[in-house]
Amino acid sequence: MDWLKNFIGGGSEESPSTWGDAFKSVGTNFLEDYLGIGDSPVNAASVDPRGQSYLRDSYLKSSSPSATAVTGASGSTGTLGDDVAIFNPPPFVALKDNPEPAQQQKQEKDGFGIKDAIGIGLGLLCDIRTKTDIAPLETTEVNDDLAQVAFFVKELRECS
Amino acid sequence: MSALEKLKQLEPIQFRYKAELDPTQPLRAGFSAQQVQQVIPEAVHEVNGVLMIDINVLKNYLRLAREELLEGSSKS
Repeated sequence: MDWLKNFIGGGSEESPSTWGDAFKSVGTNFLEDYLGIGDSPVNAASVDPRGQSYLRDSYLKSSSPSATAVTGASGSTGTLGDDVAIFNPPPFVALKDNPEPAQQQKQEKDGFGIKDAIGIGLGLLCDIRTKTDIAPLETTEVNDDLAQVAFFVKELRECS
Repeated sequence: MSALEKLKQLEPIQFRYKAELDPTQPLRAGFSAQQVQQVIPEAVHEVNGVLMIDINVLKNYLRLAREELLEGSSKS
């Protein structure tokens, strides 16, 4: 159980390198050390030698960020400098039946465009010329907003 | 004409989108945009020559119709 005593700070005086002793050495100045305003030896040891400008230097190291390294259906990643990675999420396009983003992009390239969009921000594609098998409403296999409105109206008409 | 009366004039339909638009072709419920345009023209917009229904306008009519129904039931 010596390891436990050492861990919680009850270790012997001769083992200053345990976790408990390490925390004792930090003492109440831990926050100051963390913020870089203390004068504890821990401060000097924990500060990156590259200083506060590390991120800026890393960014400026590359004047032209490298092109996408990995591109897929779930987005792409790139790098700025040597150490900073950037994740680019895929653009969201609301299409019928919510196909995978890669499929959406392929459809856009193939020229489907608005004809393939049954429900988009502009509205719901309800043009009679886009429909087939039209009949008075009895049932549906898709329970979307428009279906709920349609059944509400159907009940209104039946009640009156 | 009240929202309730306008909604009653709509003709709900079931339909499938044409195969070139929707290969799976599930049976859907909705309206004909051309018919809705005759009753509630502000609910229909033309985009690239195709008529589209603004579901938010219809939902607003639904809300108004519900209020009219509630008012009617409270009076009676």
